Amino acid sequence: MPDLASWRRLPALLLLLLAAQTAQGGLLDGRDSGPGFLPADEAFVLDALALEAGQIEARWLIAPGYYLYRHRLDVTPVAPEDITLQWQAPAGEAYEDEHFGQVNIFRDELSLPLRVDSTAESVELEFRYQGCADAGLCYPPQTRRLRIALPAAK
Amino acid sequence: MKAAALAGLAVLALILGFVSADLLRGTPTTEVSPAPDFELIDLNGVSHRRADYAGQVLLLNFWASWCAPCLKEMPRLQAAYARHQDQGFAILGPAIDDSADAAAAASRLEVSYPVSAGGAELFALMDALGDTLGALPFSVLIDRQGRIVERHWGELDQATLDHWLNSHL
Repeated sequence: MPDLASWRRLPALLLLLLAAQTAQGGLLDGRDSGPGFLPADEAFVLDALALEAGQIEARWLIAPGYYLYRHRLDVTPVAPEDITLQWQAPAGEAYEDEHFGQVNIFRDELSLPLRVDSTAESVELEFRYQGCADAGLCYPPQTRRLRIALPAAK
Repeated sequence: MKAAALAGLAVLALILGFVSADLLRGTPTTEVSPAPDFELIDLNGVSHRRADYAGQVLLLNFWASWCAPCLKEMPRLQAAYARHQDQGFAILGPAIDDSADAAAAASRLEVSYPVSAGGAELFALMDALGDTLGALPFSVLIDRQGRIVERHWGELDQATLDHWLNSHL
């Protein structure tokens, strides 16, 4: 039976336990311990809503450690067919890519104002985007379609 | 006696640490499983089936020309391929890409192992090999018995690659 002095050392042993867990995680993370990355829809959460007639804001919430490429961003109208859509992506953050040179990226959050010329009650837009994780993983180009209700013009 | 008790506690803590890490993480340790059959047609039109690599250690490295970490790791893989090919180490590089882009990137990086290109069918193969993300790079190591012994999501660093080769080649 350990004496009192031994029990006093229990916190140190608990730290050792924690260290063992941490060490094991570090050693085996690369060995089929699961992806360790977020699915694309959790890394880049997209939503869009109409702020007022003719004005839509698309917003991506970008998880820490992940980023979207500016040059891979695209929005196109799906329905109605006669819709006119205008948008201009913000500048983003300059990023030197070893293979692709100087590119611009978005981190944390991307708000994209869209101007829509339509009298329809709603529009359907197609969003295309692509991003990566700093830890060395890239997602294929993502395509999402969103239907957005439009407020009536006053 | 005190020292013995402390040593006993330390050993117990280590055992608990190793056992509990997997439980707390909720992720499985490697489950060795048979690799599914597949056929990849490389950019030169040559067929590569899993059975063709029986008795070899085969690394399947899914990549794309639009994936910077993929391009970063490929010279590392090529070097390992050149160094260990004679020991029965093979690599196949299926690219989620069109053929022209995959060929240009492979040529620029001086990759000599077979590279193929495709789309949905390669994502299906990734799924069959145990992928859950659909992102790149994704690497799978198949041992000489045709079993999946390693999977890795993201860039394969030198230490991990060396560990795989030391363990399975």
